[in-house]
Amino acid sequence: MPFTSNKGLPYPSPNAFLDVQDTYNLAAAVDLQAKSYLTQIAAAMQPTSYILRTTANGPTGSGSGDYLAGTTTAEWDPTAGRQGALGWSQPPSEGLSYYLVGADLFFTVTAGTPAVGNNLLGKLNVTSTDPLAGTTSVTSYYRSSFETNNGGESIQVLAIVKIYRGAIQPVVNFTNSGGSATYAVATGSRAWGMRLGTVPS
Amino acid sequence: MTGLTPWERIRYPQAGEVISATAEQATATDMDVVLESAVPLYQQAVGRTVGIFSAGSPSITKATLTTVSFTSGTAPFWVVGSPTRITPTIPGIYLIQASVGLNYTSTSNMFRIMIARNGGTAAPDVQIQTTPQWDTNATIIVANMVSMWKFATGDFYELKVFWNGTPAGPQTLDTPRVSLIPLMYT
Repeated sequence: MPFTSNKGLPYPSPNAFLDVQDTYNLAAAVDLQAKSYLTQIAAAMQPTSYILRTTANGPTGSGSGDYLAGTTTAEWDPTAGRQGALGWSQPPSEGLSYYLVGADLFFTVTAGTPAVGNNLLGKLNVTSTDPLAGTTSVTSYYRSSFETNNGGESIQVLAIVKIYRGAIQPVVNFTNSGGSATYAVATGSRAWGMRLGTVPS
Repeated sequence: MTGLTPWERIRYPQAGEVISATAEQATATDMDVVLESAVPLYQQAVGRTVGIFSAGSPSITKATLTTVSFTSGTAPFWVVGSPTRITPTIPGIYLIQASVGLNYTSTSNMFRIMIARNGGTAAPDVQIQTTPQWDTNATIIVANMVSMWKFATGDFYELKVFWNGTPAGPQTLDTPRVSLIPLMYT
């Protein structure tokens, strides 16, 4: 039985009598090829992605330090259940992957009076595991701003990261230039991300 | 004709049947349907339309949250009759990027840009970038932001801006640009 040159689809030899088996063989081969392509295309069109939004202010503190986001709800998380109280974790079945990640962080003043010029940092803590050594490390990505006393501050942080068994945590950090205000991640802040692809080995 | 392939349900004649033109036509028709089903996916993969929207140099009153009217934009997301609105057409996940400058000639300013959903002015319908400015020699503050949204049919997005500081104003915007990038369709 000959086969087509590109996809190996079977067809009856020119000197053979046509048989129902020939039609079956062709249909089965097309079926397998089509399933393979459609599955891959659908997966490529729906990469792992998430949009989480905080529904309560995060933990607060005094002085400088890291204050994580509060309780989150998933506006979009088709991988189901990968959001936690303080961020998002990568599906464990994924290999080493590139992600575009971002956060839209609102600051809330939880105590004291904010002083103009207070140093504010928006931050993404990105945890990843070395696939070979098994060691875990945290890399942080920042954007800075200042208190302006105009009804609440906000900072966006963006990064393209490489993660394996990773986790993404949105964080705020602050330093008072005067006064004694304390800040936290405000309700309504978002963390989001999308898998860009597999890291070539 | 009762045989069906396991995945895409292509009909085929079974052993013992007399092969016929009708049976061959059914098999070919099913193969055709399977191939055709890949076309929308293919079109989404290669044919996504990115929208770009711009405005001139509108004057913005001090300490007043202002919705920007775009003067040009990519169809079908923007129409002249609704100049403030960016409206995706296919439910999905979208990135919306904004880059906007504010012209000013004094110090102690701040400039805030906001992508707002459905006319909202507060969370959860906004994503915001606030940019303070302390340099007395600068003549412009530029704010830049990227936001990610889950768009549902009927939603629309707008660019809102806010500034405050020592000059009385109003101050003009400099090169407001917004882009809409579909990431995936849901």
